[in-house]
Amino acid sequence: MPLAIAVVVTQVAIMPQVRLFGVVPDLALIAAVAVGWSDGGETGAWFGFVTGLALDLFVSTPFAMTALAYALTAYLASSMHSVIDRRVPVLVAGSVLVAGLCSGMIFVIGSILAGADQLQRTHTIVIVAVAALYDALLALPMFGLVRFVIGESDRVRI
Amino acid sequence: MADNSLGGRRRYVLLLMVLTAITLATLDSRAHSSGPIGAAGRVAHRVVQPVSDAASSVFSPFHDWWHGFTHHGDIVKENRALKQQLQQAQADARAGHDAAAQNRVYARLFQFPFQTDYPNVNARVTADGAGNFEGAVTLNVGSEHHIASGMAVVGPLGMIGRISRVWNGGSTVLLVSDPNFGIDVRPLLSTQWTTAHTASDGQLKATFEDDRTQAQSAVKLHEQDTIITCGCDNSDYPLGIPVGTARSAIRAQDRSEVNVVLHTYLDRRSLEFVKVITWRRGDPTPATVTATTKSKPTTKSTSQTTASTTSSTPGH
Repeated sequence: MPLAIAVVVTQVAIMPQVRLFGVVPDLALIAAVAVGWSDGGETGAWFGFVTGLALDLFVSTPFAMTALAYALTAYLASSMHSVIDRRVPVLVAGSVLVAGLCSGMIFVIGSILAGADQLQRTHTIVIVAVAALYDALLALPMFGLVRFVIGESDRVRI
Repeated sequence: MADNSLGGRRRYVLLLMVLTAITLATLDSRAHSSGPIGAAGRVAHRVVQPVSDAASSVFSPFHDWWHGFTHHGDIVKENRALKQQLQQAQADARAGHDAAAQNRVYARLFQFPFQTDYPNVNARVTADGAGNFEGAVTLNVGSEHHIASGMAVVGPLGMIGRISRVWNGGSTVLLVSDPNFGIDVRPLLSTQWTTAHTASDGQLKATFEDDRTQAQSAVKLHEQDTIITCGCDNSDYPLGIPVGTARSAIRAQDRSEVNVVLHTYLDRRSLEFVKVITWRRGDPTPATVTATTKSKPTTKSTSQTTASTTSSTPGH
């Protein structure tokens, strides 16, 4: 819970100040993927859902779409982690890049279905891609932070 | 067997999350900002506001440095232009009080009362919106200054957005570049009105109905003409706030309408100090502006809103 609160506050209060090409990264998504890799997909999905729901309170896009995108992506990412060597930084960053793209597309499609027609433009894809790249850049420090906070779990992972 | 049970439970949890998300999205779209989700959002904003303010203060020097680093050439050019403007302004100032008095008269004639006459609250932009898919900024004033959702927000030149969410200590402005933005407008020199909407490309666009029986357009509007708020019966905005200038005004081939793309006064990069117009629908219009607004007719091409100063009649 403290990790979730810290991630949400950082995301809404600090990340808008450090935009890259006008885009903010998805810290909560990276954290959810990291939690999923450490504690299993279900935990990661719950973490993503709760933090996403909190972030949805701060934006004007359809409510709960961030939560949905983070939860599904964290779950999917955790199911892939067994084939990825986490000791190779490039692979971790690449996985987060793919997770960012996946989450962005789920968010955009879900929001459009919920009535956010303004997302039906080419620039949306650019934003998703840049955000995913930004996520990949922050992947290693965020994974380190999550591992430091929750520790490595010995439980059986997906 | 245990794996099957575990897998089934996980699928159940995921399904539960999906259904919850859809339910919440539906509830939110129906209640908008007035429901419990909107209330939770206001509380969340209020809680995080101090951290946002602190972060804004801390990062502001870095922003300035980064802006200077990445826009060095632009800044040098801008500096030269500003120096020229300053010299020009000093020359203008020396021209005496006559020009200032004349400006005041012109301001009344052209119905820009918001600069002085509409009640307003000064505000500072403390942060950009939290998301990637919205055009919004956060202000440092909120309900403690009697600011409410829907109020107009103006920059130095005119309209830049409207208040979309308010809490004690802050508020969110939906910028004119957000595709959810819409506003009733009219040309400065005409009384025809229409509703302008921001398209998905971020441009504010308006369509004025025209008289197709006439060879000449009945819509008195040309490129670079100023567009203002119409102050119509059901409009949330007072009369006469400049919304932008007509970047293009193109009459449809069947002559049924004139399509206008507006160049708005929003300059997001340099947006820092703004005013929130605290006028609400039903509030009295300032004495310098007399607005006569008739009921909305079925067609928008009929003149219905007239405005004049009390001191003199506009010369158009």
